[in-house]
Amino acid sequence: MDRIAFEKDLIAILLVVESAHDKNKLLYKYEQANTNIREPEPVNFHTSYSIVIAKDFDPPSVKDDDAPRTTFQNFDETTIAILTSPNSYGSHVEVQVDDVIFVGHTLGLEQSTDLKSFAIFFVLRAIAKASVIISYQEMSQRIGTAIRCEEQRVHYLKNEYDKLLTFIQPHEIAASDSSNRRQNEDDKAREIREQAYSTMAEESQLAATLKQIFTDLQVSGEINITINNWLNVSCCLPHRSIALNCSLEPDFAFNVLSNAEQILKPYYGILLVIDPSALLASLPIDSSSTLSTLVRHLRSSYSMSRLSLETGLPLPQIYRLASHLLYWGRAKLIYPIYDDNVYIISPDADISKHGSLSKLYKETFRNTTNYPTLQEALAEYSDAVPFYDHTNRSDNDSELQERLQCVEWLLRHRLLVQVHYYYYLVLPNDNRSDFKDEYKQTRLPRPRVPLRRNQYSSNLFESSSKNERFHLTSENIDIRGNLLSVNSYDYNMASSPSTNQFSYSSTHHSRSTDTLKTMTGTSQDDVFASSSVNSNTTTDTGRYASHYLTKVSQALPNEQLEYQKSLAIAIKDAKEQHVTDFLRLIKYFNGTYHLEEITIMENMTRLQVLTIIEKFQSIVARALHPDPNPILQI
Amino acid sequence: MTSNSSPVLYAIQYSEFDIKKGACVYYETMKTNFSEDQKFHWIRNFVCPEPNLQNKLIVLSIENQKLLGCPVIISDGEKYKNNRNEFRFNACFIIPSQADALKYEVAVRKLAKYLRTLEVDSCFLTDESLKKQFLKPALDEIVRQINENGEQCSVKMYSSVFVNLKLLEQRAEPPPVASSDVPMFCNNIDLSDLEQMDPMTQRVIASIDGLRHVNKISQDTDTELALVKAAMQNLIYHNVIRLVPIFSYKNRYIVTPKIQELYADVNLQKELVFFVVRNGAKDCVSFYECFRMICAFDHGSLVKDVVNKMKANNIDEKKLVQYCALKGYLRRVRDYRISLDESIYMNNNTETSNGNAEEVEAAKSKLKKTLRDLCDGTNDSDSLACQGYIFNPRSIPTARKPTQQPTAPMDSYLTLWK
Repeated sequence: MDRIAFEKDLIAILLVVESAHDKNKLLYKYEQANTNIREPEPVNFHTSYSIVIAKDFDPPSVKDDDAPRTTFQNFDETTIAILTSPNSYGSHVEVQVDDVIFVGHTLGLEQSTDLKSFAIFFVLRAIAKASVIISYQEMSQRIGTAIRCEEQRVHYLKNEYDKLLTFIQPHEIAASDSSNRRQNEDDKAREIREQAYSTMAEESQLAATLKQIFTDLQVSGEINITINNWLNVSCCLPHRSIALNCSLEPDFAFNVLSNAEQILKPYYGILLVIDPSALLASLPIDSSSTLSTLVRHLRSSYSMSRLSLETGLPLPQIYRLASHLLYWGRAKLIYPIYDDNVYIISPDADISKHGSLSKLYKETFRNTTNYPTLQEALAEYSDAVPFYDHTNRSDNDSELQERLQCVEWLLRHRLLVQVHYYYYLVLPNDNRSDFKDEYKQTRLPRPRVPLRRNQYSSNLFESSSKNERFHLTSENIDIRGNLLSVNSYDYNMASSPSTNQFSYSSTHHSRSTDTLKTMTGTSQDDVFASSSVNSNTTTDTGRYASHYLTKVSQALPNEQLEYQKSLAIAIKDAKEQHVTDFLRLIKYFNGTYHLEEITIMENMTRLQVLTIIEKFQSIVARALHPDPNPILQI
Repeated sequence: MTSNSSPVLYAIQYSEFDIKKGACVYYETMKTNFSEDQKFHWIRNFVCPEPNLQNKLIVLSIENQKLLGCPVIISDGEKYKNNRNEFRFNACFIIPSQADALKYEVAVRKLAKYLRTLEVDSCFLTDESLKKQFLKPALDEIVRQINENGEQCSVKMYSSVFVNLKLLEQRAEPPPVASSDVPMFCNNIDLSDLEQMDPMTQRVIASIDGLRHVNKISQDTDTELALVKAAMQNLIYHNVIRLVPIFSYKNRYIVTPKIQELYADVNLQKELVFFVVRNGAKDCVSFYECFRMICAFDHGSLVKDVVNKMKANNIDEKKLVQYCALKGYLRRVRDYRISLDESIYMNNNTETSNGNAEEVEAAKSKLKKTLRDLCDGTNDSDSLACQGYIFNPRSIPTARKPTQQPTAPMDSYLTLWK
């Protein structure tokens, strides 16, 4: 773990208890020791000319980082008790005052006669993200539930309450005595009170536990504590599992982490971020045995479906364990390391020579035969070439092993991203993306001199040039019209073989006129679109088009007829077998499936898929980019 | 009040402290979660609190509503002698719980301040008739206006006092502008807005053409670089421009997953096709050609390679690349030169440069040192170029200013494309 950044939002932890005989009371408070000594207030010279600068309108975010802490320190115990007083039991609570926010979960104690409710509150900076607030509330709920269990079992909270009260009471009496004290007395009282809190942590077990929770959260974002030496509570703040250089919105990433199971794919692999033996050692005694089985079987070249075979665990369980590891920041999801993978350097990678990762690399790979510096190791992935090309150069096994280790290390630290090939079906004669008419109407200047405008009835057509040309080719149209009736006959037979003789004639008629209309429409376009690649949709193409049209409409039932038709025209020259194969894969050519996914979905080899695609290169565009699934970026 | 989505502001609840009843709601523009007796009982400690919470922004939420208040206490032994020598009130905003409270903070505080001033000057809140006559309609009007235009209001409260409130959207700080960045308009701008801009912006905005970088703009308009950067940052904040990398035929790009959006949306396709047409072309290009050309950027290919390969006559590759970079369909793959100073490569480097004259040697070593320092993985070729170092693809980067031949061999530098 190379994350040493402290939890910035957390200011303090509080324990408040509402007893049956008393109002809500702050029992214990632990805040971070103030490391930086506060600067003495600048001496104010009160003259009649001094200008008072209004600072009230500054939103909290523009104030400095330490401001919330000072705000919190200015609250006295009664104020905090009022702020944290319960509204209803068993619900998340969130109260913001200026730039401080109190979050927690109030739990009612129905079975206890002395205590009514209690809550553990976390004091955060108000600019904390919504997801952070939720995770703190959930943590408060977990710890609270454990304490409530202990209360019901052995009156743990009641005992601790009485114990802690003995520390507080003398101060309270003193405080109520002198209702209008002077400033320095106030400070003194506060100091004494602070001391009381530190003695509490030594005397009371619960206070010590809370203090432990605070420090653990600050340092690692995880807690693993035992309440009353009996109940184990371990949970973590998921936003700490998300890497610092992750480009996702924190709230969105939190969402992804919480619902990871839904977006996992069987062909993803798991890469542990920490050493497997360290992970196994850190697991609690009552942890799931399947988790340790999974960890023992993990390889960076295994996909989850393969892991499922190796371990004998069902795939949903692997998913659950994987998302659990991910939630705790112990693992990263990758595409398994295969020879065909293409890696590039991550755009947000820190490649500077004096960065922390450079140093870490040198420490990790001190006695390697490989590259001595991080930059040299990365240089290998500077060009997008398959991994195979890198491994090919090294001969013996140990070198190969080292290379694999190196890649794992680079992936773990997000220095590399994998790119995949995605396929898009684009048709040169696609009507939907035909903007020529609109372009002509809106962008090009109108022709200045109408050509032979009066010769024809010009109001039928938009521009005179069109008009002219149309008539030049009108002979063709006639011929085509004749052919079309034949074509549409074929087409009708092919598309609706079940139509009986009686209904046939009527459908035939209507369809043929329809087709005639559309065909004349396209032909009109074709005449002008001389630059279009597949412009020869004239005369005999219709016949071939209809040849594959049934298959196309079966493969893409949701597309419009127009589109199906242009696709059929585009593939008219291909062989039957190729077309069948191609149409089988066509649903993957919308850019949401990468090559590896296609091979897995169709149970084909890469080579097979690539050969099929190669035949239809002219209508399938290939794009190389990373997998957009957010789970891979966490 | 809009019915389809939750309104910006549900209601304003004005409450004050009564010596007999304690905190109570005097007027609210609408019934909310907070108006029920039981709920109000819980929040009354916050609404009209003890002095230690005065003038603090307090945010509470119940179910799906949030209450924002800034309690005010006016102490005056003379004026309020029948009322415990002080007067407490609070005008709370009630907003949807998913809304960002920071956005409303300024408005809540400002309203509290207005009311406080009115009370101090003319007993606006303690005089029952004034309160009835002016406060209620004013609060109603504030809620109505804010919901109507979504962010601000200007309401006459009493005699000549106008209350102007505005909700401030929290926007991210614009990123620092580098000399090598190219500004590009991301929307059509209205020329009439131009007159309202500051003279600095007016001066540089005409130079924004999607190809000139900040350094060049500064030179062309004869303005100081720092000022141009500041103007650009300001324009980015207002979402007028966005930054793209410099265009060059030896750049490399890679497609991003965002291209999926382009593939699925016909309107985006139309925008692209209309944008990339070469000037003077008679006909519009087809989306098929454009899309294939975009997909041809595969991390390794240079722009000139792609242009040569595609041979698309009517597509202006400059427009295509810059447009795609702006929209995020393409990401520039930047090259970072990294010097390998600690290694053995340095030795032969010093040998080769022995023959030169003393002075040149000294100048060069000084220069080289700085260049070596720059090549530590934090500067890409663009930012080096803006500092006066240009790259020759066959050798190491050299300084343009002193005319020298590069002497260091290639292998003392690494190039990382990321």
